[in-house]
Amino acid sequence: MSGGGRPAIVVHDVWLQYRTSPDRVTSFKEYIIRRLRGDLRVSEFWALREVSFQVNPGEVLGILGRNGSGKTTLLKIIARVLRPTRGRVVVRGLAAPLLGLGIGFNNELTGRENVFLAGATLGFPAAEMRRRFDEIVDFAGIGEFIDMPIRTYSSGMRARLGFAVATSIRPDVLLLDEVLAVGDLEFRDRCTERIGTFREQGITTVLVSHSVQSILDICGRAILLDRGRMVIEGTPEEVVGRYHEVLKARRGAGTERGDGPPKH
Amino acid sequence: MEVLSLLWRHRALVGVLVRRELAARYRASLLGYLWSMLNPLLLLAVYAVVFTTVFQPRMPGAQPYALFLFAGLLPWLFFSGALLDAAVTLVDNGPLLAKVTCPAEIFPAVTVASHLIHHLLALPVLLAALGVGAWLGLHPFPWTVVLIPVALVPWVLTAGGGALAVSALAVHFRDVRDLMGNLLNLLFFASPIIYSLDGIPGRLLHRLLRANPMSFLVEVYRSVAFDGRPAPLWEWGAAFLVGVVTWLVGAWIFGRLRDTLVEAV
Repeated sequence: MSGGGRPAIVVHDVWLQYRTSPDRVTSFKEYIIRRLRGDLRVSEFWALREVSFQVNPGEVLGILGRNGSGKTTLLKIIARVLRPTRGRVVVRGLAAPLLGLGIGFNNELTGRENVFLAGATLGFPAAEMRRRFDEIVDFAGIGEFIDMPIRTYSSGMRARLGFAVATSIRPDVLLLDEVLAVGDLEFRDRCTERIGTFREQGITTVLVSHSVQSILDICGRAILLDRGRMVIEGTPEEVVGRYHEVLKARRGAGTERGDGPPKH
Repeated sequence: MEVLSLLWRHRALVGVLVRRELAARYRASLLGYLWSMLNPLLLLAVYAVVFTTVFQPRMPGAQPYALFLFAGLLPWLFFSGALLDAAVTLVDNGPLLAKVTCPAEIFPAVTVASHLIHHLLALPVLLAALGVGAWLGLHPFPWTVVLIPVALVPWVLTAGGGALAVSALAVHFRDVRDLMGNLLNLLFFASPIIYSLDGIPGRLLHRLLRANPMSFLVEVYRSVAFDGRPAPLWEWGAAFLVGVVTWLVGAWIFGRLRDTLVEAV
């Protein structure tokens, strides 16, 4: 469903702060004692700062960045798993997130049970998933493993089943986190093909990756994150070029920490 | 009440999760779902034997004692079971919570719902026991049992609010489940489940026990499930008030911790 020329995803001035306790207070007793003594330390860390962009229906947007640059956090915010500390996120229609390798797969349940569980988390009752079941198993190509517990699956098999479920329901927005990195070439080709079909149908895809190749292959536009800030937004080629510069600069600067001014 | 609309919107997921929880409990047992009937039945049998032959409590308004106890214990088992399971539900469902666009409230709500179903499955045993009691001429059959669903409402609200608070706190503090166990033990003996408030000697102790909010819930439930005379209206009002307040407090605690849950599980 394209929203009549309106963007499918709006991310407006999003900030996200993680608050953690360096002391790892894990018991209620300890918490109360420390609280009474005024001895509770909290360290704050901004994982994302003033990130803004829009994605139009049918676009394939890539999010590129080093490890720890905030890519996955950003995707989780778009998926509404995390709420931004500041800012606003609008996603039009049904979003199917594929964070990590599964869509919240339960290790002890079989692949079959997980398909129905995952369908339910996306709001699809068992009857609807039954209609799609054969197509899902077929696309995932895992054969009789479908009745084995997920914990026996390889990471490639998990990713395949997750991708098959997430795409079988024809969401309005597909959110992918490093899924393509674990599949073999043949599976990647099929994923690329399906994302291409989706693009023609007006389905929006956001792909998070640190693999330059998948960004260049699949995406129509990309953004680069570094230390929680958006460095550049543009064509995949521009963004990849800038990514290499950032990598080179970092290597030259060693492992210094702290926040340099954002470069626009 | 937004939780209700939330559950309705995510009913497909709620259905799957409740069914999974019920199936997980009974999958390994040959008797399957019948197990949930057998468990209270055995409990009742043990009480009946122990309290007619070994101990013979003389509590006014509590005869036959086995039935009196059973009617007080059933809703308590629902309540304490739901709270204890709530302490682990978010941790157990961590993978779902961290990767799926579903509101975290769903998990404690599912815990309460599945324990409510256990409770409803045990009700036929209570009805049968009351029937047998009436047939033997021990205790007239309390037709007020039709009001049990109403008496359950404050129980569900209290368990729901408690489950919300406990589930969120347990994510951050690993000892919450143990604390809950101790607190529930204390609350069990402070509530008129194994005794009736009328049978308590001494006004001070009587007042002290009356101050326990759970006592209203126990008394209201048992007034329709055993006594056959509904409790006075003010006591119903008090029970509902306890339910609503617990619910609001639980929802507030959950709301404050909500944004920290995904990180912490």
